[in-house]
Amino acid sequence: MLCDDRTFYPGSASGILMAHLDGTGQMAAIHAARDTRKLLPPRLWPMTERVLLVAKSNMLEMLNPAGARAKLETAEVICVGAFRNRRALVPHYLAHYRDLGVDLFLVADNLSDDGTREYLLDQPDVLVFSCSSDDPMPRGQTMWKRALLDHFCPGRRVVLADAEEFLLTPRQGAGALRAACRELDAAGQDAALVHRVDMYPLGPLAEADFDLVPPQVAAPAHDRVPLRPWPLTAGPFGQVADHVRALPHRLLPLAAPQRFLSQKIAWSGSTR
Amino acid sequence: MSFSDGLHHGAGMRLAPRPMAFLHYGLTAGVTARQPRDRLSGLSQGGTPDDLACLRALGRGETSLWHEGVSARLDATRPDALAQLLQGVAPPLLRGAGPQGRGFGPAA
Repeated sequence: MLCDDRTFYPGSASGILMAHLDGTGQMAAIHAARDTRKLLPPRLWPMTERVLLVAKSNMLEMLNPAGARAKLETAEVICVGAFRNRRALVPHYLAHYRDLGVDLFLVADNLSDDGTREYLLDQPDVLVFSCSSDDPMPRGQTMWKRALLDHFCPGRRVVLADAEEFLLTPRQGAGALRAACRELDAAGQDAALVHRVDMYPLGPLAEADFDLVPPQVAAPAHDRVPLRPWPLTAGPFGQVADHVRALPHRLLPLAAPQRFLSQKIAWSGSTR
Repeated sequence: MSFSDGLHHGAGMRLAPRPMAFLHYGLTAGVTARQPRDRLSGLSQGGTPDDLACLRALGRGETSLWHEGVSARLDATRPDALAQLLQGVAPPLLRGAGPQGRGFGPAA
């Protein structure tokens, strides 16, 4: 049986006899692991999905070398995100969250082809997981983040932030997120809502080139009233005060009035 | 702890009384440039569907989103930056939804 991109390497556990590899770099490691009874490469699935080795199964494959997961044991604050082709933003994103106190990043990479994946793999504090197939819909990206949360983060302090989302904490400065986590833990809270505020440049949109200028400098403007309450819905549990983002509704005035919800549960603490 | 509607809603959690904010940099020159290429290749674009819907509404990247009287400038290093953005935003939980209530109460 031949291994393809969505099955496992040859070995006694997989029953695969032959694999096509794009190079020879992995050959020795794959040979050495043939009789270890381990299914390699490491793959994981969302807990709510069926385990299928097919496209669109929301399966993730860990790309870092064996042993990299040891970083999970010592990380105090973890950041989880799903990226696709965000090469210009990623250095700023990592710097922002490192400064806030994040120790480790878990990234589901949605088949980036602009160098994002390679850049992430060069970082000492990033674990990269490749999606098995491209998914243009937000549902897939949510499923990947859920999979990373469920497998690696129970009882951990986690921020869920995609590449374009830069968290603003109640206090500023180095380690501010760590301090906020401790305060929320001490108060017995295990989650927080985070509202998305759309930022844009003072001039033409084309000037917001994050290859040249950090996003905080290139895009410092926002709508004066960036969020609006939407009182007619409160989510499936009927408890949360829904808000919508002002900018997309300004740009798309005929959109359904609650289409662009601003809030997401983007922080969870260690008490859950 | 469970989520619904993406990550917009959840249940079985004790929610902090004050929200925080993401500064969202989804509308950029880079997304504008990537959009035609990704559309041709049949792959999803680098931006979220929401971002891309906005970009389609804007047309080309020369458009400015800044409107006098509508827009404001943020200094994210100021201690009151979060308060500036979330001015007037209600607490996350609706009135009557106490910590033991359905939805955001502690997990059973």
